[in-house]
Amino acid sequence: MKNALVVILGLGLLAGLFVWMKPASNSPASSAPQTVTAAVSGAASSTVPPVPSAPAEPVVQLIELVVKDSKLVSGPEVITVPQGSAVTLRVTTDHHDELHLHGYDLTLQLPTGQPAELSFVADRSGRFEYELHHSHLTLGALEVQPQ
Amino acid sequence: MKRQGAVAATLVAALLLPAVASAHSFGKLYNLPVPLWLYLYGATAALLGSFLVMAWFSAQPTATNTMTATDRGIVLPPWTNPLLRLAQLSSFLLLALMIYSGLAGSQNAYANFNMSGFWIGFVLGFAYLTAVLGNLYARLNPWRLVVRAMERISGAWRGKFQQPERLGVWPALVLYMAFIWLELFGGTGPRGLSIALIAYTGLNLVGAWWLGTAAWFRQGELFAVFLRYLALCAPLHWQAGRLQWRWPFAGLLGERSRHGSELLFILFMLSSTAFDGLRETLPWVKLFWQDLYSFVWEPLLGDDRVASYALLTQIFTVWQGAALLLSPLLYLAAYLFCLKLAQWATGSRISLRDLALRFAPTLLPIALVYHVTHYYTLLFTQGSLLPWLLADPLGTGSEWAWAWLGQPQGFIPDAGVVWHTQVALILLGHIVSVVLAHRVALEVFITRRAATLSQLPMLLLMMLYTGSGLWILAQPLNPSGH
Repeated sequence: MKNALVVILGLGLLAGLFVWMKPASNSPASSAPQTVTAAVSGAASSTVPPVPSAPAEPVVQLIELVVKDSKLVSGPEVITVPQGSAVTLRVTTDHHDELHLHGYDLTLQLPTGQPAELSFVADRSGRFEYELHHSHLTLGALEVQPQ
Repeated sequence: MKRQGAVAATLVAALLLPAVASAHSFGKLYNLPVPLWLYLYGATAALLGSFLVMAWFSAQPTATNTMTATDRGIVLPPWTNPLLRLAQLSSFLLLALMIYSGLAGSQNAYANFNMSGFWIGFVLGFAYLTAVLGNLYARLNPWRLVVRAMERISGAWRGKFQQPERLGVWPALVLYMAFIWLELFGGTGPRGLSIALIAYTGLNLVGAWWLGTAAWFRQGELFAVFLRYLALCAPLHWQAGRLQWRWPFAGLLGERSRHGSELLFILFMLSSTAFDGLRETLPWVKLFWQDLYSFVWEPLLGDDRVASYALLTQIFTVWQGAALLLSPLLYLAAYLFCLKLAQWATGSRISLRDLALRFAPTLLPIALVYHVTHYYTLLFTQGSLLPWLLADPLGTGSEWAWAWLGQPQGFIPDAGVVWHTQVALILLGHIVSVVLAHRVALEVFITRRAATLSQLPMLLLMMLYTGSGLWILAQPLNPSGH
């Protein structure tokens, strides 16, 4: 009896600590996300924060990636979006290839020198790498933060 | 018919794609790094929980033995014998199927049954099942069945080795290290896996002949040793026609390590999982390619990155392999340091070696939760495809195979749920280990005061193991997935 009480008390303490440390949830990810054209030279990380504004027409997050000589020359290596965002990847390569986004299992044919677009709703949370098949190149990862 | 054809085509397309890029261990992890606040919560809660356990133990009048009682159980009825035979036959057939499908079937790792069946079904799924259902493997081990069949022809193998127990589990540890190396760096495809399984079957025959069957499957067969340790965590215990039950993890209290290699095996269970997590993170990649680059490689090889890239890639491979194989020594150093402190604080006359062996099994809960938190999502994302893969083990994409199963679906668990499960499991493992170490301390040290004192350094040790496990989970991952 006493043991059970101690265990319950201990669990209560751990749960209390959890509630105390858990940050207040941010504005829901469904609020209109910002349009971002990530065309930063060099590979940097792009974080797209949800903008707490009046729910307007859902805006597509546009990410531009440019690949030259089997290297990512423009665009972020990590794309972070809140779950539920509409995402468009616009990819330009200097040779014919195929883009594959893991987890969502989406593919996109990339003709030489012309931008191709892949649009989808990031409804699964997690970390999903995307790669170019023919050149065996992992371009980066899409990190979808859970709501 | 047409619809099924379309389903098959979709599956083959979906399965074909990831295979190209999977250069290292099989299966894609979709886990996001744990957010900072949750990491901090995990560490704080582990510390708080540890002190609660300490306080509880110091208030207990005497050491109670309720946890270790194993007299509760049933005698297995005779009708379970044919079930066992059936399970043994299935185990053998599954091994044969894995070997055959890898040789004769598709070389696409995601389409062939053997990759998912072995890496996900056996190495992960069966291992976690063992931690719940007990050591079924001791009866179902397909390699043991092969050896037994050979013994029927040639008579029992008693081994060529005098006193095989002197070897400890060194043979299993060496094989375990080779196995993890193969898993992380081997880049094996279906055919490679089949060849490895054939080689391992041959190795088991030689090993059993050399060491004697009983000794080999206790000290040499790596899965037998690995799964026996996990089974100690299970609430079920199978012994001589009886099924007994006990508190989860209570089996660890009865376990005595007798050989240094057993301690190292347990530490390698911890460190190999930690290393697999660490090598995917950004800090690990930066350490070699940025920090060491500017301090060591650039002065040595010149600043032409393009020219030195090929050589650096080779050095990186050796560096990673060495880090994996030496990782248990780091865990050992921390372990021995903390036990030395405990020995000094309590003025105990028990040798450091004896203490190290005595407390070794108490680390297994942490090792188990490390493993589960790191890999369990693969059971959902890849393991859930096993029925489809088993229906078409060669990965031919034949239409009829999926006719009765419908659309194949991997399942990706929500990242938020994954985070919370990971931290909760790590906390659970930590607290169980702290409790077990206390129980052992009460048996090892003469006075209650000495036992409590000894647990302060042990608590530091477990905080180190748990904290580093959490830290790895919270690190940003390397975007280009080396």
